[in-house]
Amino acid sequence: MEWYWTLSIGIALLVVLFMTGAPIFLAFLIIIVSGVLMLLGDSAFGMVVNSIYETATTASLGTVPLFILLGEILFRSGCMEVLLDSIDKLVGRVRGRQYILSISLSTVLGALSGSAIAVGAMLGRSLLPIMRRRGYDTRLSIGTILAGACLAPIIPPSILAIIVGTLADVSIASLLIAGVIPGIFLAVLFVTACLIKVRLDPSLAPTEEAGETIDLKGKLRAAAGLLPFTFIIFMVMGLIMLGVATPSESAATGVFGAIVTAAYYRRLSFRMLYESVGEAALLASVIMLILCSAVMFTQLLAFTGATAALTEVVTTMDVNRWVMFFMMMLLPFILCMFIDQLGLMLIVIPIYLPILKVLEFDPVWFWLLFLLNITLGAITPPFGYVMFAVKAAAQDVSMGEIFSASWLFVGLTLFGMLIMALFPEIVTFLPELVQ
Amino acid sequence: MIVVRGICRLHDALTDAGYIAGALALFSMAAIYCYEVVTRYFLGVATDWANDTFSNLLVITIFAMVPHATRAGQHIAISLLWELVPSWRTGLTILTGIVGVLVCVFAAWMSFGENLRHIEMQLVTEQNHPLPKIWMSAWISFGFIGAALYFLRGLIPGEAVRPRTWVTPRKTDSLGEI
Repeated sequence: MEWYWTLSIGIALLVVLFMTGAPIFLAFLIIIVSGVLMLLGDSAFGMVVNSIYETATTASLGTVPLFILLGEILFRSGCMEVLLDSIDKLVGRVRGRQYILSISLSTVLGALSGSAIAVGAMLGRSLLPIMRRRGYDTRLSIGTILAGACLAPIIPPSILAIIVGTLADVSIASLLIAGVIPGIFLAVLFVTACLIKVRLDPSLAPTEEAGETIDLKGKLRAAAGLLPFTFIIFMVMGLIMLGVATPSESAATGVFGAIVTAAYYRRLSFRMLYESVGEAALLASVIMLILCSAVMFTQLLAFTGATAALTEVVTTMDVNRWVMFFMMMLLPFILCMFIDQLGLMLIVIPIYLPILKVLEFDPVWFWLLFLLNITLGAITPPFGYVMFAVKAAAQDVSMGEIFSASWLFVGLTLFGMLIMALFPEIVTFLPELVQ
Repeated sequence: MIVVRGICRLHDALTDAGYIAGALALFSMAAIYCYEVVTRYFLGVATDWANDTFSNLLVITIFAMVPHATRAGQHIAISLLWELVPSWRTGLTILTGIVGVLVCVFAAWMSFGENLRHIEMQLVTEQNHPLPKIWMSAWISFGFIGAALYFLRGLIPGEAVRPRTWVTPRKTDSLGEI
């Protein structure tokens, strides 16, 4: 069978299996076992197990459970409430302040959890009802939550960045650091757009909000409340940038920082820690199980000869590299409206890897834009699943309102990506500085 | 029925033990790397076992938790079709269960074959302090066979086969999926 048939049938089968609602790891295992049986025979089954074993003992992947644990400790200890309160006080009494609060919160929560869907669901349940009650525009409120949530995979510590780094063989530390400036840049872009919208149409935000006015002392106290969180950020990013710790080690020191923070706020307990560790191990297990299967899928692709053939096709194609770049970004953008971003990443990365080498794009720059792109798919109608998470959290809001809420921020993110494509230094500056 | 109930309770107890082992392994991973950073940068003495132990614990964290993940229905799946065509839900659930049993039993069989090979050939890990490979690879079989049994139990109605847990915390809000 020709390589393109093998590749197309394999991927089509995988997508069909995904769509049946079967766990992703099962879908991968079915394809892998069938593929191994057809290509190599049953004597190669040991190779499948050894591949799983090798992936499951890859130390750099240990960062995934540790970052999840960090987030779990912060969520379960209630430290997030302190964070919410402090940011609320610091935002001040600008007209449309809740929009700024929403974007700041979803950005910070995304950074700490690395989970777009978790941020969407959490703020949809907690902040959105408050904003609507206070007279803020429902669509713009939802849009700010969706926008901030889509920054989660690029702002460190990002689990998806670690997975991309591992599969694409790119420096995980560089990928993590590279997300800092683009994340802040996009957050500022979102806030600016909201403030302009409120200026143009004052009905989008109430004139005066009830509640206490925060004086300078109160703001200083709120800023002090954020200090323990800067300790966590230092324990993760600071130690990587200073060259003291590897990404895996910095994830462990970040966990230590989260425990110290919980203790500082007097919210550390054995029960909380037990629940956090158990839940983090559970989440890590389901993610890593998929990864173990996906790595074998990558190896199988190489066995079929599809990887090498695809590279040859791209090298002989007379297409501008920027057209290729556009196509390589368009595909995951469309597919991520339908398919889970993790599943899609695991299919697309092994196919993109050889092409990327031919096109000679900076891998850190490319994969960061890729990460942003796949999350953008998750907030784009009609199937972006972060929108479904917000819908689940806010039952009385129609799906139509959520769809229309997202377009402004989808456009802004695309504009931001265009700027990053034209000025790659926005992405590459920090990693190069650290190197 | 008593025998079935007994086997199911034993299965649940082993899954709970796996849950505790996975949680302990994860906490140990964090502790070991913190210790490594402190000894390397503050005491100037790098350990020669931290990386290896970390890797070994990672495989335990992943596979000791797999049966519990299946029991709790926590595996990541794409529910798009379920939401678009709710009437297919029951059929797809049964299909997933059957596929789950078959695939996990097959994976466990492959893994068990490798476990036997590791024992027969007395294979050890390629690390500074080599350990028998079976100590780690056995967890892969544990994970798949435990998951296969939960997929099977999910297909059978009745109180006797309903999953139980004694050690896992009640489900509260968490980060959910990535």
